[in-house]
Amino acid sequence: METRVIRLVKTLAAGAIMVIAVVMVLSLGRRMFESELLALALDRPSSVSIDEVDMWGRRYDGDDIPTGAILHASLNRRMIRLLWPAIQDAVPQLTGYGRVGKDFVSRHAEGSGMTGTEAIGRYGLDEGLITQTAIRFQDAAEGAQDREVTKNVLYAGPEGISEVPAESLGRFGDVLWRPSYDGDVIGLDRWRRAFFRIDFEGRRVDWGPPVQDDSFQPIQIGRIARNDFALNVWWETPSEAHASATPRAAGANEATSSAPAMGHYDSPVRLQWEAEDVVLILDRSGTIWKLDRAALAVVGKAGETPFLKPHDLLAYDVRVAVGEAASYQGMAVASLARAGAGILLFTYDNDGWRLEGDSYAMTPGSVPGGYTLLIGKAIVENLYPLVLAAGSFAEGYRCDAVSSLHGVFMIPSSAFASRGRIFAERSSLKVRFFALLILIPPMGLGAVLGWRVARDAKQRGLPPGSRKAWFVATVMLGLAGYITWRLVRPGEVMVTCSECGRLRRTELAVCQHCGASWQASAPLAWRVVEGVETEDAAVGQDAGQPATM
Amino acid sequence: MRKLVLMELDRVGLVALLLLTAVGLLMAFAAVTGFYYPWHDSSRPPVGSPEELVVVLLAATVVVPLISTVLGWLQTDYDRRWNLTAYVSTRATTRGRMLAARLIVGGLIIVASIALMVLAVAAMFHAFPRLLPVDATILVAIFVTMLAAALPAYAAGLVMGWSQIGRLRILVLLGLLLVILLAVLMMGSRPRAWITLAVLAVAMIGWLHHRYVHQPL
Amino acid sequence: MAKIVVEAQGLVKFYEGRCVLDGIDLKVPQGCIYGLLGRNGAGKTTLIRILMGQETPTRGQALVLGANSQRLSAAQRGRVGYVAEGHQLVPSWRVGWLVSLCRGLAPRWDERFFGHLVSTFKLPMDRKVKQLSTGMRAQLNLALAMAVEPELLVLDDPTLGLDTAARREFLELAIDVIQRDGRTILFSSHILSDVERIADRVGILVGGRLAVDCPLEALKRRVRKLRLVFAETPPQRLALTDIVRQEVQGREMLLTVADWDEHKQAYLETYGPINCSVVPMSLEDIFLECTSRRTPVAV
Repeated sequence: METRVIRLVKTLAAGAIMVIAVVMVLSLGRRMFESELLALALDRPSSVSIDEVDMWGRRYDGDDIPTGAILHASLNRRMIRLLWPAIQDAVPQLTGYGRVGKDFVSRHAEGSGMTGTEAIGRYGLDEGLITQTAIRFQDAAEGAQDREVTKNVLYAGPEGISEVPAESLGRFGDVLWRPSYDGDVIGLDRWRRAFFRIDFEGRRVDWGPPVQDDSFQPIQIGRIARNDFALNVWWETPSEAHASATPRAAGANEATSSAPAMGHYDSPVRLQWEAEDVVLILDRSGTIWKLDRAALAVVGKAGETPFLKPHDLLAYDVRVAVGEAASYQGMAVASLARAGAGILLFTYDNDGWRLEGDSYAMTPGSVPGGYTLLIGKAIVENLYPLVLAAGSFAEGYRCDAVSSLHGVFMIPSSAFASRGRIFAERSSLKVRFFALLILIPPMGLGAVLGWRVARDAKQRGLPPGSRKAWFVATVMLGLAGYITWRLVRPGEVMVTCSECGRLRRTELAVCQHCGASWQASAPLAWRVVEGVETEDAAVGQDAGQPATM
Repeated sequence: MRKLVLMELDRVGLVALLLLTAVGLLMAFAAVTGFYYPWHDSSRPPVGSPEELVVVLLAATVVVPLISTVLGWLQTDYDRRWNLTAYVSTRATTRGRMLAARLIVGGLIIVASIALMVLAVAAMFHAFPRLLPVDATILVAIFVTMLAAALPAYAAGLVMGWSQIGRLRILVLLGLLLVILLAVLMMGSRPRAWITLAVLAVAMIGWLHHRYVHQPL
Repeated sequence: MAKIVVEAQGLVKFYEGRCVLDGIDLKVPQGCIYGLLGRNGAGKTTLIRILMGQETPTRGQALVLGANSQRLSAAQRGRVGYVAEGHQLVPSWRVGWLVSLCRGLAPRWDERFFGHLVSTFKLPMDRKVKQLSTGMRAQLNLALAMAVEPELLVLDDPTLGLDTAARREFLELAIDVIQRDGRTILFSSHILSDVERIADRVGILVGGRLAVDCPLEALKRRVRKLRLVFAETPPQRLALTDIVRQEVQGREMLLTVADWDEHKQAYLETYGPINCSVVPMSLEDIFLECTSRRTPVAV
């Protein structure tokens, strides 16, 4: 017979398993609906033209030669479908790899431009010191087979660089840092409120002036991007765009074309991830600043994440427009907004003014099955336990877009979470009312299931206190609570009561409906019983006691 | 208790061997493809790629729980079919102790397998100078996730191997495995996944304890 | 005054809506050999499994060596030797390994006695259990149960699969065990001649209830079978209590009565039989009378 403790342990164990299982499966379903909706709805790229006249006020010499660039951003539908539902967060971000010194290195360079010394490095932060682990490959001497491989580690602190992690190097505080394209490391020490550059090759650590503005809260430096796998961002010259858009007519002569073809390397405007002279810094407010690489000081605004803060973006990718000597001329930001989803693509000039932009928002109605997917997503969200759905309201404004996408136990209800964000911005009765309306489906489901559980519990003879507890738990936990009840409910075996004719539990001494005991069994016609004299209280001999007829 | 542990070891020795062999093969594969292969081919990058190692370890994060499930299943399915507990529990022991011995043996096998992997990775970094270091925190996170996923998977195998619901057992087990893998894939190698998986493992062991100790044999 | 080693209090067991045990109250005193009898499906094995903690009762409780049978500690289990019905052992185990497991678990182990049993039964230590015959498995099981020097030996049809000679050896072993101080045996069997030979008390399960629970001698004394001859047609119903069975053939009536005494004798004579003789009954005869399908169980 189960004791109360055993029953409680059994119930808690089953409940925990069911909640986790239900939430995991529903989360997968939700993400699959979201990713499919995104992939179907955001099916065309956003495009902007970048005119160098606007960008830096110079015109390329020549007549009728198209200049500038055309930048495109589109949703990477294959990656969204593959990674959005599940494994995106499972793959750890391998960061910190980059060049060492001024030698060109590519881990995937195949027979191209290898110099006498090749090097590749990994950068890390280890107990307040930024480390560079470099592997160098020296061409073998003539006649020798193998290259000479050397590996060494350098430690950089605020005061200098050394091969050992000496105390004299000092220690960095809370740093935001990144290896740059040329092997240097650029960063901000938040404790010291100053930028630094580490030149491992030259064994120097340079500091910029202190940052005075306390509202300056950088979150990313150097390559400004997040979940960039979700976006395809590419650019082409106008002639490349024309060539790809116009099918060649049969027998057409290229010489008759009015404009000479201008490829990527000819274009005066190129878009790449970093510039030579400027490093970009993204602030929590969405503003992107320019940091002078030499002076290590902020020299102005580069632009911003358009209309939305990074908090509300699922993905973004910033490309820098560079001119001669890879000098900074402007930038472009491609971003994917949170649910409600749209792709935004905007360009900014050298002074941070917004130039051109394009955006494209999701409209489920424009794709076949869009509303079906939306309804499917809503159904899945409403199957979540009410207590978690309600938590979406509070967590909605606290979690950023990426965390909310990753939310498994929290933020299951995107509609409710968005109400929470609106409520955080403007607290009003109307917002609260609409928020409660959104909770009606999970509340209703919980109530229906809770009622069924309570009714079944009553039939099985649970006391009123236990029935109420089960009702409340099922309302709060929904489907998970109902399945848990089915797994642990008492009275697996029930028989018909001879008094009231209803099903009664066999392990109870009396019928849970009418209170009848089990003494209705017909007595034996005969018995031969002779008791045992025991050490304990007298048993009382049952010698020859007849059954009554 | 010692006798019960030895009894369990005697029964699952073969599976343990298979598990450890699988682990060893996985690591050898990583070593060969990830780090050794482009050795003398100067046209290929001569540096060991950390991505291959991480991919192999991530694959192991799925494989190790699967093998753990099989281990748990075999332990209790064999018991159920041959009434092992029904016999041994009538000797001078209790079902609780038998379960504890079973969990000790299974847990030790899983931990030993993962420890072997950790040693292999450490040895490779020591042995191959061409390897770029991988951030240790990533490796630690992956190994902890592997352990956190293997334990509830093992518990799921134990629970379903003991269950008497007939052919539905396989389906339910696959469902539980799906939940465990989803926890890893959706929450990543992070503390929230570890906590969720730990809660799942404890809950399943609690359920198993109830089924094993208090249900009729 | 005897100490109670096994006690069942109001035990009820339902299997899928069917009542298998219906309020069993049983006491087995220390030093007793208790034979539990009943037809197939009467509930003997269920009762024994509940006593051994392998089955949970629906209602009521069972006490073994003073402790609840559902919560026996390892030490308490170590004082009980048990042989289950069918002699189920793990087939892939070697006999030697099984012996070492049981020896390792047991708080007490009589190596000399076990060695004697092994040589008596000629048990091979190097063979696997599945390679043993049913009889040898039974002998192995018995040997393992007895080697732990149990205070209580519970045997569920222990001689199943044993030949006549092996059965006789077992009986002698059982007597040997019981002669050691304070040992108790509870066993069920279908071979009533064996039960009659060694049991002190018997219990007979009929329809899930314990219709008989008394010393063997008292049973023989109290259950009486009479052949009554009447001058004419015998009366259809006798207003007599404790009728186990009543059969009429012509002018003859065969009447089995529980709890026979002189009052019943005098009352019967008022029906005027011309002849009344006692039919001698063995335990097997009594058992058959008590458990016949035509025997009324309930009023």
